[in-house]
Amino acid sequence: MKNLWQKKFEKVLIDDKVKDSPTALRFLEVFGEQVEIIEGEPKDIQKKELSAGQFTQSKKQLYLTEFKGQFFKKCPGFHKGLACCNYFVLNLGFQCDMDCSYCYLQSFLNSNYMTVYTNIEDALAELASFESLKDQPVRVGTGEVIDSLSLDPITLYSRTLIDFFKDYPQWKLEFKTKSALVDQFLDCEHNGNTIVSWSINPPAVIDNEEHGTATFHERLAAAERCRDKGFQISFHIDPMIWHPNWQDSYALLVDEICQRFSPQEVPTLSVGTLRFQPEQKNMMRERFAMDSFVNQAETFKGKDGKLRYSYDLRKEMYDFVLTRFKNHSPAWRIFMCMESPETWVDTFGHTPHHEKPLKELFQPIR
Amino acid sequence: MTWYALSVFFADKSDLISLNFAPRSHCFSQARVEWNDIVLNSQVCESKALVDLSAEEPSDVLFDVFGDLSFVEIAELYAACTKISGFIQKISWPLFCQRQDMQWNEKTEQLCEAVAQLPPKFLAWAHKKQASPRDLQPLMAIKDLAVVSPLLEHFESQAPSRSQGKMIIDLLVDLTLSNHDQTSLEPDKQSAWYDKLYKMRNPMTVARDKTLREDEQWPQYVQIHNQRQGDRIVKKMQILYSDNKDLSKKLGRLSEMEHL
Repeated sequence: MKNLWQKKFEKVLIDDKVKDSPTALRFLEVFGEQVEIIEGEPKDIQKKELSAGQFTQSKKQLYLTEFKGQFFKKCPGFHKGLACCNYFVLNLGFQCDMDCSYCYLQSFLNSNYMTVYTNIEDALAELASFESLKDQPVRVGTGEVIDSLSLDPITLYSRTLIDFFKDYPQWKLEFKTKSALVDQFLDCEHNGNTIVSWSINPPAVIDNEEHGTATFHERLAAAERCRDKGFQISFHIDPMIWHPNWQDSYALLVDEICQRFSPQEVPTLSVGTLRFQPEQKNMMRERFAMDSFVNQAETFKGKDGKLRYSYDLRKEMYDFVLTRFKNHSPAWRIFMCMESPETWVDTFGHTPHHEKPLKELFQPIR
Repeated sequence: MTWYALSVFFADKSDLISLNFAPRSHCFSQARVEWNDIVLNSQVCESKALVDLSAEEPSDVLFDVFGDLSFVEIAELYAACTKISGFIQKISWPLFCQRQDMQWNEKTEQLCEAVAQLPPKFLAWAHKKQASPRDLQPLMAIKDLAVVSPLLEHFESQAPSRSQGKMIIDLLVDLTLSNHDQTSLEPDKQSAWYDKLYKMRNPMTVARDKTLREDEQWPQYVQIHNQRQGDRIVKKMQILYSDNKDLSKKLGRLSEMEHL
């Protein structure tokens, strides 16, 4: 395993200030001589717009340091014109060691180092300071700008967070991943408010677009292991990507989920179709050319300025997946991520605030 | 900069190197300017007196000589500077770009190198329309820009607006990367260049939009035009009527139609 980690990164730098932190010590144990302790930031760090080559390189260079800003932020879906679900993000680092063609980090990151913050205790102190939210139905996700679990066997942050959330029964902690790395926390005692969620796509899309991620079956098997230990499971079929025979691919995905899990075991399931900022297109084209289904996509600017499939195709894709789930069982709870209220109305016949099982998720925080 | 304090040379200096760059619009300098044996603007001030500004910071000198430049000019100036051994290292180029309201990074450096190689007819259009790095960035996805150069030359004759030109570049890049025959991407007389490329790039959407149009039945006095507005199709309805009475009658008949 150590060998696999070592091959993943060409460079591992640790800020001298954090070298004695538990996280840094674990990285030192795994990467050994590959680690370089440095004073402050790496000398070659870039803090400006990255070229395609620099972005690719940033996935192979790891930097451990402390974070002095605000860890806890409102989800970017909380935006006028989009229906959103009271989601907060807790960023314990940024960049991802996997490489999805559609990843929004390509238009977002401006550092040539994947960065992991070692001061998780400060993040927890910040969370604890939000007294007014303690009894609110808040969901906190750790997978916005970094995969929640892809480095977790080393950081073991999942264990610390699960333990912290035991005292916040109204809150839900969500790990979001495309990995199958869950075994490091399966023995943790929890009070049922930890959701382990997978961004999932059919094998045809994973093979073509989600480079370096766990396979479809590895993800489902990891989800089963979590379910068996009493963790809540969630799947994000997002982004759905059009490709030849997409109906067959997504039918396989839905059927496989329904065969392995009951609707009660997966309290929420989200779907979303491909969307990205227009400026991201250049980076995606330079890095993945037209072999990628994402770059082949026929996309148009939506009301939020993002490029998306034409509305009628989106609706067809949503209808297909929703119908397939509902045919298995009407008990499946599904919501659409980053979609306009019109799309909700056209697909479900109402906004999320009127869908009883989802009302709680979408109610405004007081 | 204190021009009056500088030396002025009237005699020729045989060891001078000329920077192979002339701005497309104008040159601010009234004199030939030398910086450490490099004449920066001999192409535009050939007969003027020679002024030695070697003591000045070179990025300041370049800005004072050439003033605000378009992105195409910056790319051409960068290419010219890199051709003189060791010169670009002496210039604080990021500072020069900052004065041109442009951020210098690896991405813009690569783009400048690529843009300087593009055909002159395309560069003339890009300069005239003040094309920005963002407008031209799609071209970086093409490894061998010589492949698309013949197509880019059409920008001079087609003379698209900046925004339409930007969309055409985007389409040309996608279609080139999809291995379309380059001659099939050339403008023709049947349709506007953008429309032709749009249809080639989005065959599925064009087919779906056409189906929508054919599916609906309307009375003869109504004309329906499908228009794409971003990610949606909207319909524009035109009703032909002779007077208000006629209009009321036709609107009444419309309201009775089943699909409304």
